[in-house]
Amino acid sequence: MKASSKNKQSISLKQFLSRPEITMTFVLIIFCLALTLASDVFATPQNILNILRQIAVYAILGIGEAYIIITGGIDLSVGSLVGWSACVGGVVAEWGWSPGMVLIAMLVAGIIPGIINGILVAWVGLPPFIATLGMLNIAYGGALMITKGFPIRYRGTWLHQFGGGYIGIVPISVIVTIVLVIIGYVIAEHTIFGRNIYALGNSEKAAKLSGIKTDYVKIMTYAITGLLAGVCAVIQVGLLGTADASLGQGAELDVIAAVVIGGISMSGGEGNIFGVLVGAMIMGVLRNAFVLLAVSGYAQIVALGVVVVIAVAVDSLRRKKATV
Amino acid sequence: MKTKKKWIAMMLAAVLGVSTIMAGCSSGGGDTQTTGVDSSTDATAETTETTETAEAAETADFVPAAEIEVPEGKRLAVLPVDQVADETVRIAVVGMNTNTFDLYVYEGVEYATQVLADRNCVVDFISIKEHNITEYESNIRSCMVAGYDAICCNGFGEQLQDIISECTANGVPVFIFNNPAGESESDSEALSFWGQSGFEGGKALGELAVEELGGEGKYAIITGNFSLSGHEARRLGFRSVMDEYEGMELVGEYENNDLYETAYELTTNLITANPDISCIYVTAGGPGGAAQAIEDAGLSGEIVMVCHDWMPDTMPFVESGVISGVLDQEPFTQGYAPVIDAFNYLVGGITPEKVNLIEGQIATPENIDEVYVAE
Repeated sequence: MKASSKNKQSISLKQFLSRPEITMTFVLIIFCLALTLASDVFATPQNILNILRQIAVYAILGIGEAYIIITGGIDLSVGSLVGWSACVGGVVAEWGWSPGMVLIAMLVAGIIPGIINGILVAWVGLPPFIATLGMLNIAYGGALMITKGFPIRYRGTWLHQFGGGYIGIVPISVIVTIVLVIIGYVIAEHTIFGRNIYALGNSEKAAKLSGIKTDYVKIMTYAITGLLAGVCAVIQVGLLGTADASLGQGAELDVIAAVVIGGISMSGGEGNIFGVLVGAMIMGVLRNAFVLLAVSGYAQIVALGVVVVIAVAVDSLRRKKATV
Repeated sequence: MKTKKKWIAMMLAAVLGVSTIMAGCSSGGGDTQTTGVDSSTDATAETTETTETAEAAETADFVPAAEIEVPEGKRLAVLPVDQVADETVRIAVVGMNTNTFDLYVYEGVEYATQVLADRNCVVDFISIKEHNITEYESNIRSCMVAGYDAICCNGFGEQLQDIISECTANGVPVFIFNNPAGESESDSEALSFWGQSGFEGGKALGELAVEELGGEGKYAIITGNFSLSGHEARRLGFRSVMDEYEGMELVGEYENNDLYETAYELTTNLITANPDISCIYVTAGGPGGAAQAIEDAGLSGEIVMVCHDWMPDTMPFVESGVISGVLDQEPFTQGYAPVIDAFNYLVGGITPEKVNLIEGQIATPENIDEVYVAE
């Protein structure tokens, strides 16, 4: 009896340790230990908080992207939606709207394209790659159109605290990130909607047959991502004091990289939201390391690509082993 | 299913409606840019709109060059000949207008368009979406095929030499700006180049930085893109000055892809990694991000920051002393002058100077009120 109970515990521990987000957490810890030895400033509170602040956008966008990838989709428009939402906020701020209304405008500006993405994927049946690629261009072009290409300076309101404010020594954006990751995890793991996301990713047919409204789930995941893009726009405008169409440009690749590194499977149905935070941290620590260790610009570009490839390769090999 | 279809139809109609409104709002009455001419389309290029239509000049009813108004804060580096074209002259300008610098270039193009409108000359701005060789080459080729009399474009790099030669061989002269189409400004067959030597520009800012620092200190470079010749020329020009001083120590060179937030992130990390850093040079886009990071770190005036282009996101930082020097390269002149050169060549038979280097002024906290006119 006791021996059987012990086997059950060790199997559980083994299973726990082999989870991708746990593996990547160990990788992150090793990176951090190595950097602590290599650089005097890495482990300082100021540097750690800088890293956390810098990864805020990737982590927050990564929550939504993770939901979408778990359902078997993808969203390439996340970066452009940040710029679009920021520019909408900048434009309405120029019209004299209050900071509260500017905040609402930015969030709504993110949700609407997200819903459109979801409808195009769920109802019209467009492949997510195509639908969101189109939205990437629409959002960026739209941001350029409404601002005529000029950045809009917008600073000095309470809204800017979300990006540039502190509680003690902790940036508010870091607190927002942690809260959103926790909420994202709770939704994914402890709500019916969250379980439906995983069910959809495992098998859309089976999910439909079991009564899950798969179209609704898809649309909601894209809508949530759009909303999170609006949140990121608030943070970026708060930090930089400017609304620019180029904000968030190219971020989609880093967000997807963070999600994949964090153990979310590109084939759908698997992954843990905390892994997104770990993935974003690994990307942030790498970028920070490049500067602390004065790594050549050329090598940095190669290094980031290598990390992503290794992370996906490890995931693929793990899956292959599991199915054998 | 019917309800679903109804929702889709309503949604698409709403999107179309909003798009139409946005297009109307952004046009501002008379904004007639194209989004690229496809060489497979008809030569009349149905997507092309003229920036201003010139009336047939049966009478010499135009504003003489001597009376052309000079916009405040700008200079008219070259004036059009006092002649009206016998047949309508068509000039294409291939460029971007998706960032602030390119918008100032576009202002220069628009002004040239207005100036030439009563001289029976039509100027079309062909806007491209990305600054890469494929976009430039294909759009220049399309303009050649579409029958334009002359083409003005960003010189981009030596990769453009072949298409410039082809245009010239086909009787379509090319006039370039901003980047020389080669290692030196006279390398290509373009009839004129208007722009700043990137190397000399970087060097000028290097000299300013060295003067501010007394020849000693740690510095870093944030460059737009290692693969763009213009950015590289600036970086190397700056390094050519810094490398002469043993006391100047380079702590790193990084790419920000012209992004504001990346410049912010890199600067924050640089300050953390090197608390005694004394100089940051931003070669291209996004310098406001670096300046913001310096200000947020409470190091205004303690780090010498130098960069390029008098932009809305840099000049406030010069006024407040965060940025020590910004070198202007007169984007208005770069947009305006090649178009006038093209007209003078086609109508007046005047061959322009092949190389027209813009020295540019450096705005500093001390002289900004004298040299800069805010938009």
